[in-house]
Amino acid sequence: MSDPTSLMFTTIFICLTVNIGMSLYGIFVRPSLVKKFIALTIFSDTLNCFAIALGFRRVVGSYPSIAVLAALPESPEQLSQLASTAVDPLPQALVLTAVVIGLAVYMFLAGLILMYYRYYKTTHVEVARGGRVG
Amino acid sequence: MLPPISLPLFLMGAAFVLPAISLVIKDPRFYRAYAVAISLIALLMAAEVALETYKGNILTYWFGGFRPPLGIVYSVDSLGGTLGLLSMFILAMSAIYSTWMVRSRGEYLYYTFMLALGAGSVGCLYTGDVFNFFVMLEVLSLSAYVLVSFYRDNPKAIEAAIRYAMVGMVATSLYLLASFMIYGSYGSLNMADVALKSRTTTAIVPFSGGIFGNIVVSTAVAIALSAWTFTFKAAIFPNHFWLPDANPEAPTPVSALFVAVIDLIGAYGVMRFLYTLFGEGSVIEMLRGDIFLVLHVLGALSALIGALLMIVQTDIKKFIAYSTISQMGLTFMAATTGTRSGVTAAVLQLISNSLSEALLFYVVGIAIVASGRKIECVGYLKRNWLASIAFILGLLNLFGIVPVVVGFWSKVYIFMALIGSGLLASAVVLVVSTGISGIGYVRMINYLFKARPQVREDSRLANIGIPLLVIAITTSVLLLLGVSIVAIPETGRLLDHIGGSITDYISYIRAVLGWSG
Repeated sequence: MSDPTSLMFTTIFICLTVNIGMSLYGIFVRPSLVKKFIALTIFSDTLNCFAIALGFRRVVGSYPSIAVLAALPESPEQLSQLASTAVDPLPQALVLTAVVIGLAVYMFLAGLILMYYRYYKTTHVEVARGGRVG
Repeated sequence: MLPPISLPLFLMGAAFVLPAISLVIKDPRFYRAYAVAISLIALLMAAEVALETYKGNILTYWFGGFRPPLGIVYSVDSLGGTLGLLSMFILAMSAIYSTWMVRSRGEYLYYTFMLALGAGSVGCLYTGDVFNFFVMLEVLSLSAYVLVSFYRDNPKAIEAAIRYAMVGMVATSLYLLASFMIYGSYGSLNMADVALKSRTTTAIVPFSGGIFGNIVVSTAVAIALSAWTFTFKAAIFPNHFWLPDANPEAPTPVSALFVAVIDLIGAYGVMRFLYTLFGEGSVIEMLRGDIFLVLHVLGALSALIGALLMIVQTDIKKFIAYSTISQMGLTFMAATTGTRSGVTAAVLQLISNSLSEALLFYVVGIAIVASGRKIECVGYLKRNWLASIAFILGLLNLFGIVPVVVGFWSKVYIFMALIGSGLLASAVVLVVSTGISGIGYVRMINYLFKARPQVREDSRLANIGIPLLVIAITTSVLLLLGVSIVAIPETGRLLDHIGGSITDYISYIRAVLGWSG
């Protein structure tokens, strides 16, 4: 654990796991629909952070301090430097897709919760079920 | 020959053009004709793709011309082709049925999401990419959430849609996590590439390289996470609760679609993951038996629980939903035997189950229009001989004791597969759950003859030609399939070929990665 990079990654993964547990608690146990909704967004953001961490590339030596591919046309050396030091871009593309899909579902869910509120005058599922409808 | 991508793309395009058209054309008759025409064309396209796969080919399409594993690839073997044809058939039938059943101000939205549901389903079945499966799964799920809440004047529908969407979002997110794990350990999202590397761990594929780290652990975790999603989609105990909750609140033609379009994906996903991707000879070979055992027990439990809960229902749509849970449990029991005959039996059970649950919803839809969702409403059906016969045939098909319908043969295939794998206890579960559910089905036939429901006035009841046409087509397909299994030996061989396509991972890898040797 002396290596700072692995220490950092261990911390990140423990945090993400705790986050998943907390958000699942929020989704399944909390009675308020709005809190369930917020927990759901935290849940999928946690998974997206996990994917970003997956794309990490450990570079031996120092990280490049100047921007690569700053000049056009690029030279083969610059390209090979980019290919050997850049992070994996695919997880970021996947996260982008997942975020866009998530947005559609969240917009829809938010609309449904608003409608639920209009019917029951509350977003608390147990109050609505208990017949205390305003 | 049609590339397999054209079908999901066509449906998706047609679905999202419709809201734009609705700005110009306000006539609901146009929307109905449009949806029927699009879904019939989709059925023809699915039939062409399926017929092509029956010649023994695996159709592939590379997005943007990038060779796999670089780009997204669509690859259809005969399992995907068959299930795609089945789901497109039910989509077309439901679209025709909706023209009679659904009367609402937002009709164009209804047809938009119905076509998008079909696009998501067929995309899941045709894709050869782990992440694209997730995207299509979300297209499918989001359309399903919208359709469940379609009758938004009903607070129960809103509640059901919220519950379904919340838990559904968690389930599909778990699949997303599983696909990240697969990418992290195999360096690829291409199904054929993953299937290759899970067997030959030393393989180095151009562009995606080799494997990373301990792939046994990460594969096991990925399978555990995705199994959660698949059991949720297939409504297998303990993830079955959403189906009797959401299905009855959806419009009846959509309820008919649920089995053939959504539950099917769960069973397909399990087969694809546990046979093609991580099947025989893969790194998790020693864990595969345990995974199968868990899914097998869950399937047996949901077969029994579904049958037991089915017989006490008082809502006709909930009755059919619990019947679905029971039948899907039997599908899972067959699919998790780990043998070719088991997969064949599972596919036949999926076909039989999808057709007859859809048929029941189509028949019952007339009774629901006439006298509401109480179980006594089926008494209305005895006024029409065709509807009565179709209703009885659908129930007997699910019960599975009449050899002329396909349901009998699917039960026989499952029984033989279970006995062939030495799973005697499971064969007993099959017989017991069939017996218990038989009580419910016979009780329903009794209601058909005895019940005298109150009939309310509805202008739709004056002309029921369209639903009767749909019922007649679906019934004749059920009968034709059942008869052809007895009379034409080619049908049995074709079924065996479909079962073989999922266990024959070598041809799949060769077809997608383009090896000559």
